[in-house]
Amino acid sequence: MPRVSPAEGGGSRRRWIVGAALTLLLAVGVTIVWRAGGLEAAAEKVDRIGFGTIVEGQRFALDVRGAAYATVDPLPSFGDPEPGRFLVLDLKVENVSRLPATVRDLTASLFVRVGGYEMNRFGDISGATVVRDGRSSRSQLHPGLGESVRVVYKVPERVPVPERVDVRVRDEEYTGGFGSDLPEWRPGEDLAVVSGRVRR
Amino acid sequence: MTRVWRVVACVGLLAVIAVVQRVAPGPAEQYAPITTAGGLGSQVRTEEFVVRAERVAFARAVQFKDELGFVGEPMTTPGVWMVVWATAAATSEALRLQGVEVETAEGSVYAASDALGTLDKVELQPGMPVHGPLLFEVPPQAVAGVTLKVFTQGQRGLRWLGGGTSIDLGVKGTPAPAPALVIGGTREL
Amino acid sequence: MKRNLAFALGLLLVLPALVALRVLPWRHKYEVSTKTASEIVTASAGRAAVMAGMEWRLKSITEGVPQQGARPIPPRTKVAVAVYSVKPVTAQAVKWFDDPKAGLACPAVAVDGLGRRWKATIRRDLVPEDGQHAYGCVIVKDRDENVPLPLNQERTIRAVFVVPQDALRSLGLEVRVSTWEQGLVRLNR
Repeated sequence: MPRVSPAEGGGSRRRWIVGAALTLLLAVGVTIVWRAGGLEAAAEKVDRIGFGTIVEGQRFALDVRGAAYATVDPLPSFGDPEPGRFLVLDLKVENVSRLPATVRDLTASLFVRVGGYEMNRFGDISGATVVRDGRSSRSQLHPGLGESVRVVYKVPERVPVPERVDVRVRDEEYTGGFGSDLPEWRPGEDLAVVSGRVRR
Repeated sequence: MTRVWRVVACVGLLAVIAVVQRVAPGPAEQYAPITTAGGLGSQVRTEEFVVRAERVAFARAVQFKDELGFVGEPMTTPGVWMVVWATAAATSEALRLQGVEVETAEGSVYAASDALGTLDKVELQPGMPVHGPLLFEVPPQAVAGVTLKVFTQGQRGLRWLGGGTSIDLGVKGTPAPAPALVIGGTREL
Repeated sequence: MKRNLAFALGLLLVLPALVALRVLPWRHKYEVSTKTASEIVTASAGRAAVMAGMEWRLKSITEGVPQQGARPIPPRTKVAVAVYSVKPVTAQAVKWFDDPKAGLACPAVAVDGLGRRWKATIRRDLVPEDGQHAYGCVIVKDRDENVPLPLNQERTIRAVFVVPQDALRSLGLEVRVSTWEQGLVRLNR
């Protein structure tokens, strides 16, 4: 059994302290990077696909069936339809999560771009509904039940009549975040950009 | 020897920490609404309201009949309609049952239909029970063992640690839905 | 030993602080959502309660008889007609009544002995109008002008409630007075 001199003992204690401090620093660093999502794989390049292909995320599986340009509001809220410039998106949507959702939740994750202009996901929508029984008053998307959905955007005057439309679909994750550990739907990665011709 | 034991103790404690981390309830369970359980026909009381689910029926389409006897257009669904007739009253303050849903055995949640004329749309007053239908659109193959959850908050984020009910509706197997069902609205009892 | 003691004492302080850090935001949320009043004043039968420079008094709560042709009220309920009064006793209170932009609001709810609450009904067909009482504490003349209420002058207000018949005997009033603060006036019978 080798004897430890007092001097050597002090050195070993210092080594221990330095070691422990380094380990702690490393642990804190890894935790910060981990919480910030830095250890996740970098997002892959988003696929560009055409109409009629199903894009599936954690909340919705959707299929953009077509886009059309209209000069009369296809979903008037009440009374006679008003004239204007409208882009109509028709989708097949299934809520693939376990929780209830609405058409508004869906449109919040669709980034629609025409003629270099990205539609405001809230302000530019003039109507969004589940199309069923010839009515346009339903907005719920129940888990596992596919629905036809129509979304109507107002096209601003300065944007030319759209020929093509790009719909970037962003995923959503039901998870806790920095602000709160309680789970809620939070923006996820981009799933795909669906491109297609706008019918007149 | 003591050093070996120390290492063993450290590893053991780390293992215990890992196990506890794994089995400890997550934030969603810790803050989950505190529900009162019940069955079909039983009166379930929470601090804010009393509710009794009385009868369950399934249909491919539903039609509402108003007070004057007029029957509305049929409403279809990609699944089946589940109609739960229930009676509810507020306990001490007027309220609406804004968060009504059914949860399947697998854990999928179906919010009550936004169709008007159902029990979850009326304002309930203390001591004045109201009877009426609750409407749900559900996949027929998933309804065995569904429970009815009733909350006063529509938004999930506002329900944490609040009160609610969990009522076993006694549904077994895959239901045979009626082609169409005419349902009356709500009425005060 | 001393160090251990210090550590234990430190823990004793840190743990409650951590718990408070997590609980306090919820408590605030609870208070905001339940609109807890900052001040509560109770007046027993025939006496006045003073809140925000206003004197509140319950005049009477009587059973009303629904008019012929009025839409029926729910089974086993009664109509309660409450008359209460308000009198500004400070110059500031007079301003609250005169200025429409001041935003004075004072809705009354009926409260029974069990603590159950009912909002006043907006139905005007239940009890005939007598033209003697106001519908609320503020009377709007036109868009920018209220009917003034001079200092020490009383204004009587009538509120009609539909309540379960067993609640009528113990019914009192609760007036929520919203100035720049939230106050609650309880007027017992």
